[in-house]
Amino acid sequence: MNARERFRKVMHYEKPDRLPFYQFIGFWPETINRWYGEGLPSGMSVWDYFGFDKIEGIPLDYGPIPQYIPKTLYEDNRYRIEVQTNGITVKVLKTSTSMPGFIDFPVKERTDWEKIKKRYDPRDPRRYPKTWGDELIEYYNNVDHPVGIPLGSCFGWARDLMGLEKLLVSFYREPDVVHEIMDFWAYFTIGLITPAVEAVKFDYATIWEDMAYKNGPHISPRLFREFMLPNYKKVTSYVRSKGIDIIMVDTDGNHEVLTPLFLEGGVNCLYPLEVQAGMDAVALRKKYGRRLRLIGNIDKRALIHSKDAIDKELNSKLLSLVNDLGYIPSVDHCVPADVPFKHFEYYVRLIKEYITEV
Amino acid sequence: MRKEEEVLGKLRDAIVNLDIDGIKEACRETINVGIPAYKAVTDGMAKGMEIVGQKYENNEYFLAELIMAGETMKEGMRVLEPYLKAGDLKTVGKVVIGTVRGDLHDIGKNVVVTLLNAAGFDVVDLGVDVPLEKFVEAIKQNNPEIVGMSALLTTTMVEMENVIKALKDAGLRDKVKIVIGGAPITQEYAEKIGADAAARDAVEGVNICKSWVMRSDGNERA
Repeated sequence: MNARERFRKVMHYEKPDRLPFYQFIGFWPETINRWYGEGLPSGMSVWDYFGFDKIEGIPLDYGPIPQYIPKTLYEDNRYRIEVQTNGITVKVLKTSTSMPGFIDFPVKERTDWEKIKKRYDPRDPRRYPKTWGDELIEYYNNVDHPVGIPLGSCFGWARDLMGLEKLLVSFYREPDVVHEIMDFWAYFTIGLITPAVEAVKFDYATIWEDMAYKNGPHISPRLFREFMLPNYKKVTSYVRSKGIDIIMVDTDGNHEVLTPLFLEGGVNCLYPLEVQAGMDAVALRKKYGRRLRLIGNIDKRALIHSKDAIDKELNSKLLSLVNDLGYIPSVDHCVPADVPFKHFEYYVRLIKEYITEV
Repeated sequence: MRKEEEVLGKLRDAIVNLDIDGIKEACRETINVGIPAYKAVTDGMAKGMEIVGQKYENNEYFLAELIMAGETMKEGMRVLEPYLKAGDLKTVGKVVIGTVRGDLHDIGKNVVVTLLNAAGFDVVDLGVDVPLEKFVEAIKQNNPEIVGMSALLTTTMVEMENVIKALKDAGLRDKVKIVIGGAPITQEYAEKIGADAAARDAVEGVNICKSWVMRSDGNERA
């Protein structure tokens, strides 16, 4: 059974030869650098070393075209303040690659949005890979691992345009602008993906949101229902009409109170289910049954802590979820740099035992 | 007296209902009927913020509403500030707060600062990526009752322990209460590194700070 067949079977609750072996959100670069000093052979890809299954998504460009001109506005030994190609000004620590500080965003008022919209023509051919054509379509349709299509982001995109605090206040102060941006996401996404979904039989589609933190979502279910749900329905119903029936959302934090709305919006898979935020895949499976596929939920903090903690974590989650199917084990976010290489090796050894016990 | 209660009630309700346009009118009315500006803050808007905090804890309000309530209060303060005399607003305590070195995340900390201000605290915000020496220096200079530290990542939260060690070395640890917060922070971690409390969220963080400056009779110290 190849990786594509395996993915399809697990996501449709059919028995595969084993569960897929993925690390869905990946690794922080500092983690890999650390591991090169702890046993990961120099220059070797972590994906190859541990033998992860392959998966890929078609690289569609959801950004502004033309991009903003990247500029460094300030630099010293510790920081760099720069304008990124998406128009966001960030302050980055030169000593690490962790989350930057956000300084400025492209949309400050309605007129900014009106101007910026012109950079988002969904039918601009530059949004597709340069290799797009019959050969690439044939490759995607026949390759032996799963192929997905990105659907961009409704909340996350609005946040990248306005900044989180401005966006949250705008739900109340300028609701028309938020409506326009979120409605535009649906129009833009459907326009952008149409050539791809008409030519390729994708295995899954994914929306990234990152719209929650450890105490809950950034917005209430009421705001989600009013601003986002109609657009989710538009996009997911279109995607389903093209034969894609696994639709995922990637959001950090605790999004438990929004889960019914994601389902109502046509989503049927959530990741990475951060444990430190209180997400619990076993409880979600009990509550939502087979309507909801799950990816992740292996507590990164257990991998930091000890081999015993890893044993305990995997036992508590995988004994039930592995055999339920509709679940892919993975650490619940990027693997952080305080995970020793030996711990990750141990985790991989155990995971490989669990996933063959289906 | 009845009119005063009615007007202060309007202020409180404008905060609770996130009525950023209505708060300005309510503040002007407060001044027009002769209610002192400080009373409009402490007995009107601050009471509204307390209710907003309760609604947040009860999952009726979310981060958007918490931030919007803070914006509404700031809008009200713009109207009231010209009428506030120096020393009118007694602070209930002083807090030195910052995101620890190596971490540039500030949204959670900023919400805490807004809520602490609304609750009557004098807040010294050291910003983000704050080196431990800066925490030590700020505590020496400002003599706060409370120190707040924030971190987003497991890799940066370890810096909190270094700050606490530095405070011990400087002989300052026993002079302050320490509350920590951020995505990876737990009560167990707070205990492990010698902090006094871990706050689950901004509202709980402010409630913890309030409990530390309460007198034994239940009143705030000021």
